Amino acid sequence: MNTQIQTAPSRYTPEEERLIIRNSHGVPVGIKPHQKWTPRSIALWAVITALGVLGWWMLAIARGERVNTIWFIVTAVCTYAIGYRFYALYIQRTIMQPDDSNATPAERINNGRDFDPTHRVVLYGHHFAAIAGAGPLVGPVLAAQMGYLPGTLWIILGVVVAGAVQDMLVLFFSMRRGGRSLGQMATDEIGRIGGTVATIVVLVMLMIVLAVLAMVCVNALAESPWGVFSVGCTIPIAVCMGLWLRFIQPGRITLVSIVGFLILIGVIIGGRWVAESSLGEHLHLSPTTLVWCMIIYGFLAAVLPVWVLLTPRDYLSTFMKVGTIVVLAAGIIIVRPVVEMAAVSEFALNTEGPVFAGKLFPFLFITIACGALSGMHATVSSGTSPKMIQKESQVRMIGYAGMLMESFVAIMALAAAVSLSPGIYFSMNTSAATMDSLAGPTVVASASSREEVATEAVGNLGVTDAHGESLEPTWDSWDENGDPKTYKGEEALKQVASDVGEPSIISRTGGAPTLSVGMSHILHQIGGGRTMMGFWYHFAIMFEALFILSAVDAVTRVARFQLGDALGNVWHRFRDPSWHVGAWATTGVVVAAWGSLLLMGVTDPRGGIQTLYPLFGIANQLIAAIALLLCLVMTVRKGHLRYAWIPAIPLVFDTVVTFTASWQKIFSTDARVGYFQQWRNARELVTTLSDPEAIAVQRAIIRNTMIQGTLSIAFLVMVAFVMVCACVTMVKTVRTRDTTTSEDPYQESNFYAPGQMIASALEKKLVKEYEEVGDPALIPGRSPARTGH
Amino acid sequence: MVMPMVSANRKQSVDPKPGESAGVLLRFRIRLAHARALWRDFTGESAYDRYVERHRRDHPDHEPMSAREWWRAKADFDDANVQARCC
Repeated sequence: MNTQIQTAPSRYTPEEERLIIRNSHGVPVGIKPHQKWTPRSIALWAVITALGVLGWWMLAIARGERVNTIWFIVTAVCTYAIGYRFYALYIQRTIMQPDDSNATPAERINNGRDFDPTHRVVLYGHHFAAIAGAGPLVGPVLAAQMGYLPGTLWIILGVVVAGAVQDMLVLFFSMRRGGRSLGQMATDEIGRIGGTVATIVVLVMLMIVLAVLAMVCVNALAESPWGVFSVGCTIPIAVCMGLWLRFIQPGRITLVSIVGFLILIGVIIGGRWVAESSLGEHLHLSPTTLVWCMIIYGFLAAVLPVWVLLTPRDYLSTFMKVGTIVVLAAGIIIVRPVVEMAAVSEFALNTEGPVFAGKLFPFLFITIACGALSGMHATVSSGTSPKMIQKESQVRMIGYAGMLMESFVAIMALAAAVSLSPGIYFSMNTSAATMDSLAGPTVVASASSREEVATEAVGNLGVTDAHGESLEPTWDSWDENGDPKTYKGEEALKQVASDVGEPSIISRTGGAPTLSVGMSHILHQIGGGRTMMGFWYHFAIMFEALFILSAVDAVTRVARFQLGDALGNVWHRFRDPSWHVGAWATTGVVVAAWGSLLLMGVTDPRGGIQTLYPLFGIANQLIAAIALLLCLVMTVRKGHLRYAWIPAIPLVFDTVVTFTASWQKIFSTDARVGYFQQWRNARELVTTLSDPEAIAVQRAIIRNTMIQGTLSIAFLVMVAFVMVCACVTMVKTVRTRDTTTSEDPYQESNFYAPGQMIASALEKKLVKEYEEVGDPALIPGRSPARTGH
Repeated sequence: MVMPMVSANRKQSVDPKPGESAGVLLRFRIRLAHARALWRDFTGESAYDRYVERHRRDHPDHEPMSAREWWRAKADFDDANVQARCC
């Protein structure tokens, strides 16, 4: 091999040759870390920094009455670029120190199945598709009640120092350990007991996450025949796609997906007609009915073979995911709507917010979980992605930049929500019970419609919009003659509903309907005008529902296998995947776990989003705490005590946030916040009541707050226990200076691929050389790109 | 180490030889082929072709599975190996 290379020495300059890492056969496997500042790159980074500073200035300091949402995009992109180029690289050079002469698990094992060296661009897409879902779309919308600025700051800065760091470090540590899962790594690093508790906590928290996601979906579809029809149609469409791929044309994924996608679009368009026909009445489903549909769907999707439903539905949702994000970004850039929400609203400082209760600290940081910091990502970063990565130096691009993209989605969702009239925003996101108490009993009794109650209620909220005026729903649309007209108050709320093709938009909590109205508000201006508003609304509802359904079925299935594995320790037969009774039993347990929480949330008299969403946020951020803690332990055990602050900063912040939030949820005497205060109040109230209906409501509150409060306590205690175990390990490590690692032993790499999304000139030369001298098992035979699934 | 014959043959059909003027059209076609390959990898459509390529190289003594058989085997594997999705 060496002779071959020497016959073509002209390829590299001597300077370049010095940078190349070659293995013992002389095959190039990587490039040494190097950086060269040229006038051009200095100028480029100066411009990016200046633009970023200008963006922050416009959003945070200048503000004014007309802040354009384009500044969200500019500020986010510039800050991400700086974070990626400087902070992520710093972490790469200090903690991770990737060694491209070391083979990754994908190269070592390369079994053509799960361990498969995958082209970095493809893996980026896979990783992003796996981490991004409805979370980054819903959280920012709910947090918009505090104004646009707190959410923006947390999403952009949080991802740079917390979320992306967590994803990248977990991905790196898992890759160095053969793609082991979070739970397995916890057992290895902090012992069997701590690891087992961590695994159980994560599993239980996943159930809450699923319940809340499913609730968002149910709230979006309840009383909406058009939505039920179009989302319901995804199931037969997916099954047909599955049958087609199984029996007619195996492997024709793109063709089948495009046909499925086109049918889906047809279904969304045809939905209005179906909803208005006599069939529409039967699709007018109550939330409880939808919960049962969801439970049955989750059960079937988890026990049926994946080719029937799960895989083809995943193709559809990936298509929608990529399509919608591109469309939304284009919409915001072209339309550039103006922010209508105040920068910081009064709800940031009091607990009276109608969307969720609690002050900015700590509740903003648990409401916006995905998009800034999300513990659930650790399950993907320690799942399939580390088994597919080609080179160690690609971890930054996959882990860090993948999360930046998710954060960008969250920023766009926030931009769409805050460009709506705040009057409409609060009318949609205030639960019916809260709205009644805001409007007062006399208005509720005399009002002719819910729209009238809502207009009165948002006027009484006591907050102002971007122009400093009190809230009044405002909506630009067209009158019957097709002339542009600005509707105000009650009229505006009715006009929104008729424009998007819904019976009503009042109290459509959960964030998804609000985002959909926001998207349709932006997108109808570039495509189709008024006639397309309904389409864009239901297009947005559809893609959020698809995200949620794909999380519900995949996570149910994953949890079922985990449960089966755990039970297998006691009764071996549970490990046998072909034992149907075991599969059904474990699936039943998993579905019952999230299904009962979902039912509780949907029937909650105080509005499920308001009571259950904080629990979801806390659960997600506690998983993040466990993941960051593991990163800290592994950093210390690697001997990098000096750089322990990198995972420690987000860990400490996240711990303070989650523990304060849990503490307030448990001990607060403010009935809007504390679960047990609500419980006490309801218990007192129930003795004074005589109306059986009112008693039933209070009984439900007593039961629900007790369950939620108990869960909060259990999480807090278990996570605190894991933290103590981890601290013991770290102290031991520091004392004994024992840096025995659980990393896999070094194995020489025989493979080369560039480390960044866009290959540099030198990287391209190395790719060329590798194609001539490299291992044919790792060289793509049919394209310049290496590999997929 | 074996020379990658497949790769070398294939590359000649796409890449221009040094010195040959690379027309805009040709360059566009290379880009398009690259994008298509990435897309096929992303959707997983190329998985069977890659299996066949690999099988021919590693086990030239017997025939690979047919497309139908292979996709069924893959579905069976996927049944127990689901990728977790996030929120």
